[in-house]
Formats: sequence, structure tokens, C-alpha cells
Amino acid sequence: MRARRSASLHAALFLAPAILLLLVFRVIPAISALGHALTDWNGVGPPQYVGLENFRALLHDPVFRQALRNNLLLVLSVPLWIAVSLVLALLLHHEIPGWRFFRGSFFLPSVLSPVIVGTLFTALLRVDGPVNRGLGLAGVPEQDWLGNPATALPTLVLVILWSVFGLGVIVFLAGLAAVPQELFDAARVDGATGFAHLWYVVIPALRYVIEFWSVNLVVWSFTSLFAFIYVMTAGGPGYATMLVEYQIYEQAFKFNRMGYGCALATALLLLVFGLVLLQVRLMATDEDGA
Amino acid sequence: MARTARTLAPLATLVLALSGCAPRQAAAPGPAGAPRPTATPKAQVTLTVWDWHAADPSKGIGLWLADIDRAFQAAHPGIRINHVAQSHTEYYEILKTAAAAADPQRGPDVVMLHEGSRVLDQRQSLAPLDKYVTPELRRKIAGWELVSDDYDAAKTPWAVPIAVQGLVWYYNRGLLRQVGLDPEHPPTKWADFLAACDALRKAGKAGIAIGEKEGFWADWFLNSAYFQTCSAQDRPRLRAGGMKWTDPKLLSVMERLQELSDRQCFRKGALSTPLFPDAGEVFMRGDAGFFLGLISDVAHWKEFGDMMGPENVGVMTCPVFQDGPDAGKFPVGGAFTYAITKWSLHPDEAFQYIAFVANDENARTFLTNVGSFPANQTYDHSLIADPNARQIAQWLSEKRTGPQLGDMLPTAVGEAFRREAQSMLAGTTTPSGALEAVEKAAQESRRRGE
Repeated sequence: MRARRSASLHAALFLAPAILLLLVFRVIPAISALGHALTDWNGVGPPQYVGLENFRALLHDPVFRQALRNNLLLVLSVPLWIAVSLVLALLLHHEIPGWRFFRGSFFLPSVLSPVIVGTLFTALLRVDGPVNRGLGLAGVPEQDWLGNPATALPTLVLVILWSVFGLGVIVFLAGLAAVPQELFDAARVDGATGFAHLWYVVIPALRYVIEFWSVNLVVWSFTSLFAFIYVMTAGGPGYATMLVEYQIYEQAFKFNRMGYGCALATALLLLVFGLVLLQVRLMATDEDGA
Repeated sequence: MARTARTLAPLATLVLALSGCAPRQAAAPGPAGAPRPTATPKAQVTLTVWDWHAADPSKGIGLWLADIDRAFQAAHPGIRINHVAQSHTEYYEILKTAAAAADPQRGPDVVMLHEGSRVLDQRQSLAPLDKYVTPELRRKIAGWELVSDDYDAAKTPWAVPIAVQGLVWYYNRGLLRQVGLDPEHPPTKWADFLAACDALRKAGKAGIAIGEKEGFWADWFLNSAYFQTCSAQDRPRLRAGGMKWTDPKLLSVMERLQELSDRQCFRKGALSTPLFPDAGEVFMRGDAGFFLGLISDVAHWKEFGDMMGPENVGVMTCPVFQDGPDAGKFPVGGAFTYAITKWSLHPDEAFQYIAFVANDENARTFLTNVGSFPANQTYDHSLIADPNARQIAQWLSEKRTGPQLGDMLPTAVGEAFRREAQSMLAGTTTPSGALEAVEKAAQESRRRGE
């Protein structure tokens, strides 16, 4: 009995620093933001309680609607981000010529800061930049990739894909390493090649890794693209690349509307939570049905 | 027992450490309004000064400020200046964090701020300057209306203007000559200006070097052109809601902006090009004929003169499309000021420093060494060698100036205008559609009491 109590005490002590850090830097700020979402607060003076007024304003905010639409369009590109990483991981797993070089070079963009990636691509994509010059050689007329509302968001999707696919490749390579080689050999003997091999063998074998990575990417697409937007487009032209997380920054820090910024953050939290819950449910249902 | 004691020892240490912090935390001053620790008399006073110009003390304004700091410390042995350079891009975000902490030990005593709404938006964090600003200072320094309550120079000032900023149109004399125009008589009428842009385009150059990635260029154009359609009374009416953004006077300006785009007066890629430094570099490289630039600090006559030769640069006011009440005027405002934070323990010394920065001698060196116009108007005009600067100084002395429209707008309304103008130039909205959206943002801003 005494030994068990002592073990519990030890466990509590070892857990205490982590719990304390989580409480101080995650839980308490999140609760504080929830509270401030119900106030009119400029970040300096005392907050004034306004009830659900910020949430009512949010429902009528055209910028929020545009930002949400852009976020959802980004989520639609998540399958592309997964597919590219998965196919490349499979090629590396099968040790195509130069696979060691490719493994290193694919991962390289993942270790670069989004600010560096954003700055680099902003220069590359200028109207008089190398991308347009290269395309010009093929007869493609020059484009203002980041200055045209029709191309700005798709261009961002591709830049983000370039930045993140390497990490996906590593995740899928780790997953593939855990799949018994016999499974691939048996599939090959049975004549499964190309798309059939990918669809009927690889994807089922990597199901849980794909689930894990897709949940990660969905959360990431809502919460971690600020630096790309800040450096490359600042949400423009107009509101063409405005995302909810960038709007939170603008409202809270540019317009001194901390209360409204907190309401936006709360809405984003609930939205991401709901989407992830739905995603996990759908996957679980599919698994049960399978 | 001993084992339990050993286990609890680190916890006890942690608790003791935390409690050890407690007295210091209790003594630390709280937010504005909480009791402050009193300054030790006769002690060496350190003034922390924040600004975005001090990053490079080897040249320009950075060098000018470094020289002032040295001179001030020599003249005031009891005061040390701790000049902290902050990023211009995130300046107001950083300042907000400092205001929330309101820490006199670590926060700034003196802060640099842009004139206009940037000063008035920060009033909660600033000390009023009524008791410091003497009639003599009021007489010498221009721009008090942009740092005072209700934009009224007679009311409480919250900052001291240091520089004069404004917007004028620069042109490349050589390029104008190349397309058959007389640089001594630049195209000051709208139709002539459009024709000049056409000629430049046909010669393989852009009419106007523009950077609209941040939306500032459209903002500048509005500020530069609104004199032709709006009267002095329209500005406060627009802010108060008596005049709508959809008013034909503003629509006319917006349509001229659209016309510049439709006539392909802008360099390609305008919406993804930053105004600083890219658009200015385009002009300095000789790839565009015109540049809507500043009169002080950057992208101005000195920078262009140094790079292109003053003889190759010309200056004019906004091309006239309507002979409105103030056509031919150019806007001033948005320059930098210095203010004292509410939480400073040394407001008297802080004002001594600000007054020193703004004194006659430093105004002179600001003009001669930095190449920018000081707010202190006592400088000798004969000191100006650059012909474009002389022209601007003459316009300033002739009062061919008016306030910037943007200086009086709440930040959110200014931002709405910039984004809607971008959308208009991108072809996703019309001039009237853009102004309707800005009007909605203005109504929302007024409803919030901004």
C-alpha cells in the first residue's frame, strides 16, 4: 500500500512540470481567450463584458466568411498534399535510382522556416522572376502569380506543398518500413502493379499512418500557415488569401480589437475541433464497415 | 520517511523559489493607474527610447539620432539614453505588448509614433503633454493638429512632431525627354499625364512605378488626389459620418485610380510588388517615368537625387483631373513624432529629451545631414542645395499643403480602403463597390466608437 502511494507520488512529481507548463502556456491562455471573447477589449484598458456580441458580429462579418471559405479551400488540397508525399515515399521505399539523394533533398524544405520559404518563393514568383522567365521560354505569358486573386491561393497551396511534402514522405517511409515485405512480394506475385498496388496494397497497409497525417494536415492548414501568408501576400490581393488565423492577427494586433480576435480564435478552435472529430468519426465508421 | 523527504525536497525548493519571487512581483508596478515605485532622487536616470529609425546608427536618421543621444548625454550628465531599435513592421504590435505590461523598469519612456490616428489610438498608454508644450514650441513646430485631441491643435497634445512628411510626385527628367516631353513642364493635367504614361509604355517603360502589395499606394493616391474634389470641411465630415465614402467626390478619385490601371499606366505585377523598397528601385533604375513618393525619410528627393543625380529628378503635385477647391496642394502628415509613456517614472527628463531632439540645431542637421524636412520650421531655406527639396520647401512655405485624409481614419477603415482598392485594381470589384464596402467598415467603426 505504502509502495503504491510512493509510486503515485513519484509519478505526480515527474508529471508536475509538464502539467504546469501545459496549464500555464496552453490551458489558462485558452480559457482566458474564451473569457475575453465575451468582452470588448483593446488589449490595454479594462475589458468590458458584451456577452455574445462578438459572435453575433462574426456571423455578419464578410471578411470572416471569405477567410473561412479560403480555409476550406485549403482543406480540400489536403488529399493532394498526402498523395504527393505517399507516391514519393513509395518510390523511395522501392529504392529507385538515387533514392538516398532524393530522401535527403525531399526532407530539406521541411527544415526551412516558413518565412524563408515564403521569401524565396515571393522572389521566384515575381512577374519578372525566374518562374515566369522559365515559362516564357515555353511560350507561356507572364503571370502575377501572387497578385492575381485567381492564382494567389492555388499558388500558395503549391508553395505550402513544397514546404511540407518532405515531412509527409518521412512519415510514410516510417510507416512503410513497418509493413512486412512479404505483403508487397505477395501482391507482386498476384500481379498487383502500378495503381492497383497503390490502391489495394499500400493504402490499406498504411491506413493508420494516413489517418494520422491527414488529421495533422487539417489542423495545420487552419492554424499554422500564418507565416506564409504574412510574408507572401498579407492576405491579399484584397481578401483573396485571407485566412482565419491571419484575420485573428489583424483584428487583435492591428485594429486593437482583442475581444473580437478572441471570438475569432474561439470560433476557429471549435471549427477545427469539430472537423477533426468528424474526420475521426468517419474513419472509425469506415473501419467498422470494412 | 527519509525517502518521502527526499522526494518532497525538490517540490519544497520549487515552492520556496516561487515564494522568493513573490515580494519582487508584489513590488512590481501593475498596469497603468496602479501605484508606481518612486524614483530615487539624484540617481542616474536612464531613459529608454523606442523607435524604428535607430537600427542603423551609421547613416541617415539612425546616425542623426545617435549624434543627438551623445550630445544630449553630454549636456545632461545625469541622464543616460538607452535607444532601442524596433522593427517598423511590427512596431505597434510590440508597443501594445509593452503597454499591456506597463513596466517602467523595462518598458520605454519615450516612443516614436506616426502622426495622426497612430498617436491618438495610443492615448491610453501616453502621458498628456499640456504642461510641457510652451507657446514658443507651438510656434516653432508644425503639425500639432495631428497629435492633439479631436485633431484640434488647441487641445491636449500627446506627442511632439519631429519631422514633416508628405506626398509628392517625382518624375524622371531623362525619360520624359526621351518620349518627347519637356521636363521643365511636366504633365500636370490629367489628360496630359495619361498621354505621358502612354508614351512611356510605347517606349518600353512603365508610366508609374507602383508597389501595391500592402495597399499603401492606393492610400497615397487617395491622399494625394482628394484635394481636387473635397473641401477642408469634408474631412471631418467623412470621419464623423456626415459624408459617406460613396460620395461622388470620393468616387471620382477612385475612378481615376481605376483609369490609371485600365490605361496600363502601372508597371506589371503591381499587386505583388512591395512599395518599399521595390517600387522605389524601379523608379531609380529608370524603368518608370513617375513615382508617388515621400518628402522625408525614404523614397524621397534625397534618395532619388543620390542615386539618379538631382538634375535627373523632377517634382510635381498630383496631376489635376478636377479644378476642385484645393487642386495643386499636396498632403502632409504621417511623419514621426515622439511621445512619453504613461508609465514612465521620468516624464520630465523624457520631455527634456524630446525637446532636445526637436530643437533648432537638430532641425537644421535633420535637413542638411538626413535630407528630410523637420517639423521645427526655424531652419534656413538657403541651406537647401537640392533643387527638388528647394521646390518642396517653397510649397511648404506657401502653405500649398493640406492634411492627409488617411491620418484621421481609424486603422480598420484605412485597412478596408487598402484592401478594397487592391480588389478593384485586381478587377474583382468596381470603384463604387469598393467604396460601398469601405463605407460599411466606416459605419461599423463608428458604431464601435473608434
